[in-house]
Amino acid sequence: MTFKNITCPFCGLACDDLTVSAKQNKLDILAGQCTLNRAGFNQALWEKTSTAMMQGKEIAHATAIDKAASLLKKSEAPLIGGLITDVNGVRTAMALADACGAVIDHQDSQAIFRNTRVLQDTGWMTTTLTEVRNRADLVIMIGSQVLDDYPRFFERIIQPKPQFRKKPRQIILLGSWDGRKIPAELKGDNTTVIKTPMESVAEVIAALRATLAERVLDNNQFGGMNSSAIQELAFQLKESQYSVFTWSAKEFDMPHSELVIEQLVELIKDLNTTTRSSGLPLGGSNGSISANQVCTWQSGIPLRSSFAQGQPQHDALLFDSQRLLKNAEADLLLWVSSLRSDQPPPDTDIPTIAIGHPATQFKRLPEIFIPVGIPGIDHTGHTFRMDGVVTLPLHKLRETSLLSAADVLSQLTARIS
Amino acid sequence: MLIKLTGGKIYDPAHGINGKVKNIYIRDGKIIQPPKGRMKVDKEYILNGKIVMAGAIDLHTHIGGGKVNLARTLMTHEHRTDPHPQTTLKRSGSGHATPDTLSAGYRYAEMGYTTCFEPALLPSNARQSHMEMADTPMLDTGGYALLGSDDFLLKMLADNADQSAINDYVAWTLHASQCIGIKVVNPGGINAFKFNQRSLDVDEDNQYYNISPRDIIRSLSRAIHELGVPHPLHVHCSNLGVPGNFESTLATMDAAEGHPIHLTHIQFHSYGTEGERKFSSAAAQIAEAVNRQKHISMDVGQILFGQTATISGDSMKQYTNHQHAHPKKWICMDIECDAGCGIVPFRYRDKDFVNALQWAIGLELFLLADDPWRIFLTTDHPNGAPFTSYPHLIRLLMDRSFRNDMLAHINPLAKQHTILDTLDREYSLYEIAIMTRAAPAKILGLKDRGHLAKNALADITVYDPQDNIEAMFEKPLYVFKSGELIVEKGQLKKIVRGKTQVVRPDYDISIEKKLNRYFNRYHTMKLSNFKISDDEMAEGIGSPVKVHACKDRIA
Repeated sequence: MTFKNITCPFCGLACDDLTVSAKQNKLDILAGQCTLNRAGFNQALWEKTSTAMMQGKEIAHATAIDKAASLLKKSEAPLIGGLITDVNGVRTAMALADACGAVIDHQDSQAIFRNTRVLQDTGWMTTTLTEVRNRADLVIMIGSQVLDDYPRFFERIIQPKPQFRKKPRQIILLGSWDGRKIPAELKGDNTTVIKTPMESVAEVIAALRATLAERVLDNNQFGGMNSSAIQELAFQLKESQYSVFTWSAKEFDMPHSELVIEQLVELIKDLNTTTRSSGLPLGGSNGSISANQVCTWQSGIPLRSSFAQGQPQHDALLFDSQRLLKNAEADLLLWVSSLRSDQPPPDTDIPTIAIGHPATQFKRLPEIFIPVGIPGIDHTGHTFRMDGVVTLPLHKLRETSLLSAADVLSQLTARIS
Repeated sequence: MLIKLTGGKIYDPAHGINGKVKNIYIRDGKIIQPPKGRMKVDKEYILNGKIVMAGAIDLHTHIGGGKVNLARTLMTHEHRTDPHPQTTLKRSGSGHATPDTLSAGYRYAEMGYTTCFEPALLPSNARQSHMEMADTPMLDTGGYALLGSDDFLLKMLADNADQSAINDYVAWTLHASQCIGIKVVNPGGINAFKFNQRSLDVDEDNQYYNISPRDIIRSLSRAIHELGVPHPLHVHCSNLGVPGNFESTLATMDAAEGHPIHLTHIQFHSYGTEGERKFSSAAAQIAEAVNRQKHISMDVGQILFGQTATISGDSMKQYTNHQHAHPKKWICMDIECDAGCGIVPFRYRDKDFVNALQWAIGLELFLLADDPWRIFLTTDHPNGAPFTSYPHLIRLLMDRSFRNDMLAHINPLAKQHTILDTLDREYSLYEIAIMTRAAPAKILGLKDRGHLAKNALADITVYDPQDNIEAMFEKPLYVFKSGELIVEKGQLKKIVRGKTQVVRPDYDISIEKKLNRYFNRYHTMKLSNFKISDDEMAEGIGSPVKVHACKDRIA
């Protein structure tokens, strides 16, 4: 059977223009293919189990639920992690977290919180994909991982001619492009590459802010740009009608990178005193925006929160799941990863319940493994796009006997309440 | 199961009943006629003089959607200090001005509200909005889809499209986004801000489309009327918060050219420029205009003193307002060639001249409006104040001496600039029942609620009379939702889930051809994925739809 306008759940772009031919043992992407969705759809075909396992041995589903529930009941510091799933997977995980007093967090929260902390502390001015596509006359892309993490970003957002502009869009690639190929579609008069290590981006932004504020710069070099190049760029930003800065928080892999993002957000605010400018944080892969959105509407606070006290408590440092695991501050890990087989629970000594992709490649066999359907392939669902505004419907492409992560999480909550 | 409420004093303005003692019978979730002959009553509540009203309806409250969730994030500091512990029935939650969805549902029900409407649902964000409302227990919900700054409509207007084509697009939007009404926010202004215009008055043009707010109001109010959609165009006027904006508000009334319109949070749009601070009340002019023009209704958007967060689709005006942010942080977004939003935390202070006068202006509007069927009790939650302050607001309206005590404490200069102390009016219980039950049901076309006659949903609130009216409205004795007892003495008894209220006006499906071309050319999402089906509402989103009737389409 051939399906049109299918949504891909495998990155934060959530492209919904795929044509997929689906048979029981074959999923062919006839249109809209990229490296990530090819991999995601392939993983769905790998040898898999549809039976629950206890330490690698098959057990009945009901027994698995019983065992998992009793582990959760016994646990004094449970951690619900991963959350690599669809919206309803997170909705039900939240109910379970509240019921068993768990900490809840997403696998990629380190990157999420580089942005969220800025949003919490200062706010920002941002935009969405359709706005960028139609309105941006100047796009400053910070970093280069966009090629790997959002393979169709150029094709779908940057290449189309903007609806509201007569002149072609100008692109500035600012980041560490050493040893990286500039994508073919960006080679041309409209693209400028400014090679700067990620560690120096803050310097460039600070110099731009100072220049825009008409301060005298007492240095001549800023992340590989000299002061006249800075002045030129500041002028270009002021003259553009709708500039957009994109960044991927994941790529700011350095201590206190939230301060760099804060500088960038303030630069955007500065520009808006006379013209229009906006940010577009790239993110949302592995269902991370879905997880943070649901957590926020159901508890009032973002991820990295604990329900241990019978009420939500948020602390971006204390309730970081990676930190909790490293310091052995959790005594049970419930890992949810229904989207990807290559995101297994982290290797940990504490008992682990995995609710996951049927072909999950475990590093260590979990105490309990309950295989579930893949959202967007085995069952319908929803995923949030990187801009946090658009929620795309996920489609069901084949029949399966597997329950969804949401079904299993609801059964667990009912069992322990 | 037959339930009998015996001997309550009934306030049912939809049927002209003002405090008459009557029995109410409930079966299968609905109110029925008193059964003839002997029938076994399964459960009887002896109410002896307790006050009985239909479940309250909030027609304008920001309870779900992307901008509410952004506001929650911006208000993390407040959520930290205001956790809501889990109980045997309730999930835990947090937040005062921007509570989580579960807490909002519980608290509304505990105050006797049974139906609430999110007034600014962006079609591009419709799924999130409906999911948040689906996660708001206890309540039936619904949304007004935002139009009027979307590039598709503005292009249609700029191209002089036929009114019937505009009607088709409006109807299509209601279907696609599963909504019950259409809202317009700063008509054309959110769009103009994306082109760097910083203000837009009713007769100024959006410079890209050469279309004015007047054109948009005229065309959309006419579309709603011609489609037979019960709720009039829901309008957030131009120039929100700007001194002197009452003239824009009067011009907006005029722009509807006699078609019904509802002007929302009108307090924020009733400002003059008189006095030494060039900021004054124009409540008298606005109230007079609304009193005179029967096709116009309004809700107030009363401010009450304290910390809150303002959440609006009006990115243009919220950008300007960021200078008043308290604490100093704020968010602005341009959204999907569809609309935008702005979030600015605010602390309204009674000693501040402007805030104190805003408070007085809202109350003046309440007291000068002569038809309670055309004025609604709102704080534009959370923009003027959180919805939890409704009981306090009701007391301000019903208790003149309490109102004057409060007035004595505000900024002295503001006190000199309000006529509030000359207004003797005290609202009656009957009038409160109109404003919070009968009238919202009527203006939204909800025939199944807001009243207490045969076939109404048994959404019923029972109050224990008290001298302090605020205390009475804060903790109803009983609240029934579809005949089930959900609250007793202000405490939750049972968790229930509601439905999404929608309308389905007729339209010519061929509008989709044009839309499909537009989506393929400019959007980043396919038309087929933009539309939300009934199955998706019921299963994936988790709130089945309830369709309310439209009148016949006339053009």
